[in-house]
Amino acid sequence: MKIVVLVKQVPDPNAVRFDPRTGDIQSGTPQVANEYDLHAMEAAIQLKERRDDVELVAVSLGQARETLNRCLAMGADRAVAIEDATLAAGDSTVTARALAALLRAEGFDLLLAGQETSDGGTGTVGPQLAALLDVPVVSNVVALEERDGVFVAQREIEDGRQVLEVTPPAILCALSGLNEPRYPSLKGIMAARRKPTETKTAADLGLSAAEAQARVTWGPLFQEEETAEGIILRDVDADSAVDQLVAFLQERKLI
Amino acid sequence: MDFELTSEQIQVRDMVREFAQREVAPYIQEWDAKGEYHPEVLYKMGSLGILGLPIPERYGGGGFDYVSFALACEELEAVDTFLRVVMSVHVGLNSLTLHQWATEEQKQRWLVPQAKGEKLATFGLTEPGAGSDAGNIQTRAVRDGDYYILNGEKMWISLANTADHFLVFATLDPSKKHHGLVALMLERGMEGLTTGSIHGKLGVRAGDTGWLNFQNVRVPVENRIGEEGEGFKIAMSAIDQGRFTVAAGAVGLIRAAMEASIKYCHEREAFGQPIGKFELVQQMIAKMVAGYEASRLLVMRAAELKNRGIRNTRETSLAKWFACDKAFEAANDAIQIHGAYGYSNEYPVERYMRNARGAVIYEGTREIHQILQAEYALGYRTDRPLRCPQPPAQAWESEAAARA
Ligand SMILES: Cc1cc2nc3c(=O)[nH]c(=O)nc-3n(C[C@H](O)[C@H](O)[C@H](O)COP(=O)(O)OP(=O)(O)OC[C@H]3O[C@@H](n4cnc5c(N)ncnc54)[C@H](O)[C@@H]3O)c2cc1C
Ligand SMILES: Cc1cc2nc3c(=O)[nH]c(=O)nc-3n(C[C@H](O)[C@H](O)[C@H](O)COP(=O)(O)OP(=O)(O)OC[C@H]3O[C@@H](n4cnc5c(N)ncnc54)[C@H](O)[C@@H]3O)c2cc1C
Repeated sequence: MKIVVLVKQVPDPNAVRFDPRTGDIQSGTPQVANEYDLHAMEAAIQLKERRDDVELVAVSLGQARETLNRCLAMGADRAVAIEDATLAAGDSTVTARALAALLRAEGFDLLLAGQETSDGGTGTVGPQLAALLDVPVVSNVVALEERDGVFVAQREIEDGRQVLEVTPPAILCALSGLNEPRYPSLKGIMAARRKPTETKTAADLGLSAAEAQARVTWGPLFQEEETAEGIILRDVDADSAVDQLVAFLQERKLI
Repeated sequence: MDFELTSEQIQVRDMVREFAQREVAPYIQEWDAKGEYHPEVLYKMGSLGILGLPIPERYGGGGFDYVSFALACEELEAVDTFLRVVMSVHVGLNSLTLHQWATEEQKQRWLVPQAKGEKLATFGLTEPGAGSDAGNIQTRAVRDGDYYILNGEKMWISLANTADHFLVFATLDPSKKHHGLVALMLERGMEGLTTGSIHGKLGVRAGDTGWLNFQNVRVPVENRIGEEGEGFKIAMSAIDQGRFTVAAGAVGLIRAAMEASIKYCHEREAFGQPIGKFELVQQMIAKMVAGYEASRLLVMRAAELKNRGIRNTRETSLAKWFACDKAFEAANDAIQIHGAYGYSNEYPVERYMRNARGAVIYEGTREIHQILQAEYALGYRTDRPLRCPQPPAQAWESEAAARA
């Protein structure tokens, strides 16, 4: 069985700072693996641990050496880095096309991705790949097992869960409830020294200039002004202030 | 000279940082306040491979270099000193000493399970009556056929109550002073070996510090590390490794004190502006920055020498003295910057100060390091080659062999 995991390297959401003048992320912001993608990775490793025929490949587009090393140290067998300046300015469709070109060549039984990223955050790469590759996709996955070649996934839905069965090849998009990603142990980091990372360019993937052309233009980032106004109760006695507050909270179903 | 870390060193640093930040940082204030010791953290460090980090892979370790080892110590002590103390005694003072001085058979028996984190180890030199003056220890070892009969007491021993293996030093003949010492490996469970805790410490309150007592402990001769009379040299080369971990850890403590201070400088206002705008506060921050950077460079120089298996007693001592002084100064100033809040355990800086204080005493007091540095500079002291020199890091083994 072949499992491919898509991992994106993103600016550390806990450390990200914006340059107020340009609206860009300040340079030097530490880069980390997108959180959901680590859950996808962990799910793949757990499947691998239960069978002895699993090949596990980590794939990333963009600057992601540290993240791919981390995946190798966690337990992936090999990594593929798509690195190409022309793709760096792509939109999510360009990203999906490039990944689809690689995945067509790689083939897979299971493709695990994160539900969305903490930077781009469109949540569309998984579904776009499903369309481009003509395979089913299950979103919001919070539990996963494999039974006789069928993937049994639980999806988070409003107020509950839904169980789905899907036959390979399939795409699953992970949420953080899925598992607790392991630390790469030092043994894992050592083992990663001997694992291969392949680098691919747009040309290697056979992507034409038109296919690599973004149609959505990425604008500046800015923070919205705080608009919600507070309510201040003035010149009321304590009892009626309490009554008014309780009524206000009840009205909004907050208590 | 290359100041960039390799991708492997970064991975080790990040992994240890994540471990310490996730598994210990959220709880440490409470553990420290209550004096609670949590050995399960040590077992987790073992399962992640942290306890065998610089030991070659053929002995069950990670085979990482001394820069990675220093980064791990820095990350651990940035969260709490008790975590770095484990690296000092288990890895630095014990495992790396076995790697340097033990026979192949002894390495298989003790080093391998220690490197894998299956057994915990410590180091017992200090006694109630002798610390800096280690040649004057009173624990007696008397040869009796294939055994040594051991009697005496050790004091201020980290992991005293947790360790499975103890590298202890005893005298065969007190009149011979330094030349009469012997190094012995003890295992918990040996008859006559008891351990206990020391309470009421100023710092490292989340750690295990205690005593060892030996009452006619029969130690087989095959548990002797090195030769009779080599004990003092073995203890001193152990300390070359222990001091390195203390210095690297102190760098982490400075960083923690500095980060807490910078954060507070932005939050706290006085006289209508953030306190970071006051030049006298800036002076304290500037000293922390200088202390951090300079200490780190001294540690990295020692690491470079250690990687290549080159004698580094002088450089390691300098790094240890300097970094520990700067760590205490940084923690003390961090309290000043926090004002009265810094004086309470609502903020971590008072813990940093209490923890930093110990390192100005153990692994060579400040005074001992000053004496060493002056004696080297004045030409009163030189290092003579050892029968078993400190081995290089795994990646430098073939280079060092070619040089020899
Ligand atoms: C510097 C910068 C410039 C940008 N410029 C533009 C622009 O000009 N126009 C525009 O439209 N967008 C732009 N973007 C957005 C960017 O193209 C999208 O973030 C990207 O295409 C993926 O979409 P997403 O992050 O929304 O992924 P999502 O759809 O939210 O991700 C879902 C999952 O897909 C997988 N995945 C997503 N991206 C990757 C990847 N790169 N490698 C491996 N797996 C992946 C992961 O498993 C992820 O969890 C820019 C982003 C950055 C950081
Ligand atoms: C938290 C903690 C953990 C420890 N863990 C261990 C451990 O795991 N294993 C272990 O063996 N030990 C351990 N120690 C003990 C530590 O190594 C000793 O405390 C240290 O070596 C100093 O010895 P001492 O306390 O006996 O002080 P002393 O040697 O009695 O020194 C007292 C004072 O006299 C000064 N002094 C001594 N000699 C001279 C001189 N020649 N010139 C000038 N001044 C001098 C010293 O600098 C000091 O200021 C630990 C200590 C602490 C606090």
